[in-house]
Amino acid sequence: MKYILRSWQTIVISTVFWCILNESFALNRLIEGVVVSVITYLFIYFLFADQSGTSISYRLSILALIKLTIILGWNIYLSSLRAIKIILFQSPSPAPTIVHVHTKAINKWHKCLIANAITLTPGTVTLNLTNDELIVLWLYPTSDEPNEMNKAILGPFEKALCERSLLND
Amino acid sequence: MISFIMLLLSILSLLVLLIIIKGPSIWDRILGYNIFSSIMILLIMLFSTLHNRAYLLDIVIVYTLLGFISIVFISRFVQGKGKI
Amino acid sequence: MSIYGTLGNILMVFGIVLIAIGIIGLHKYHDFYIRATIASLIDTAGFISVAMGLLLHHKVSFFTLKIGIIIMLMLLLNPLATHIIVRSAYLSGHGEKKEDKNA
Repeated sequence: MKYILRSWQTIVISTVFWCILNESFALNRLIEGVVVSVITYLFIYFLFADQSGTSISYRLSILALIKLTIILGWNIYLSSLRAIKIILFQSPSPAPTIVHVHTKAINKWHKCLIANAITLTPGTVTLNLTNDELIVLWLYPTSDEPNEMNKAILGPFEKALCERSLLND
Repeated sequence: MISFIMLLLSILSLLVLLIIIKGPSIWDRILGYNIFSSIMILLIMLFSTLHNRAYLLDIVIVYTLLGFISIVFISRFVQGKGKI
Repeated sequence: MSIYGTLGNILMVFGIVLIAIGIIGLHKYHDFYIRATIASLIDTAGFISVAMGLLLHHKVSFFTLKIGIIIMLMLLLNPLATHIIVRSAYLSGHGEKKEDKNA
């Protein structure tokens, strides 16, 4: 019972997903959805979470999520315009380089979100993630200094997941 | 308008098929398959909007998940040279 | 046609232009790593533009909620697919000459 109470957000999200797939919010659909998502959550918890020893907390405040989405949309269109300029108007082919970048995030879930956001913007692809070091493939390198690279690649996304939530847990 | 966009997208998807045929290494072909499947997802969504059939969107969800799993397994298979 | 319909049409045409420029780039360059960075122009920017334009054609119903679920799934899964392809090429040593030239 305490496993279920600890992560009621997952069950709520799965129930809403089930109701949208069935195209009705009637009462018996809601009860079916709650039963199915509890069974699925228990299967996933006992199959995957116990092996690694420590379970990861997927906690994220809604304000940070909205801020991250807005900044992500702005950055996608900005860097896609830059990539269009390189494709259409630059005659020598660009030389993509592989750079190493250090991130300040502690939580594993925040690291995963940052790596995902870097791959979503056109022009950069995350290759590997070790302890706190990201290996990034970069299409149009502008500088060699570590601080400048940090600010250019993952500056906006680290600012979105604000400092307070980085330090908490 | 929507049917005109569908025509343009199908011409573009034929150009992506040319990349899959021509690409020198196998990773180019996997990348072309990824792009082709995302264009196909867009085409099915436009078709279901044009004819107002909601059940095609369930097929789109299943197609998305299957495409992702197949790409993961193919690239792991190629990376391990035959062992997953 | 309402104002949302025309706005959706403009967004869809913009997305088609993005996809076309990405395919021009794929045919122009022959190096795999440049192609992998350009491919997300088609996968994310073009896809989001066309799907958002499609979303503006309807009122809120289960149809639009399903399209929203598809957009969320593509936003989560598409960068993972690109990352796995490029990582398998990088770990098995494809195109090592380029790294020697840089180092």
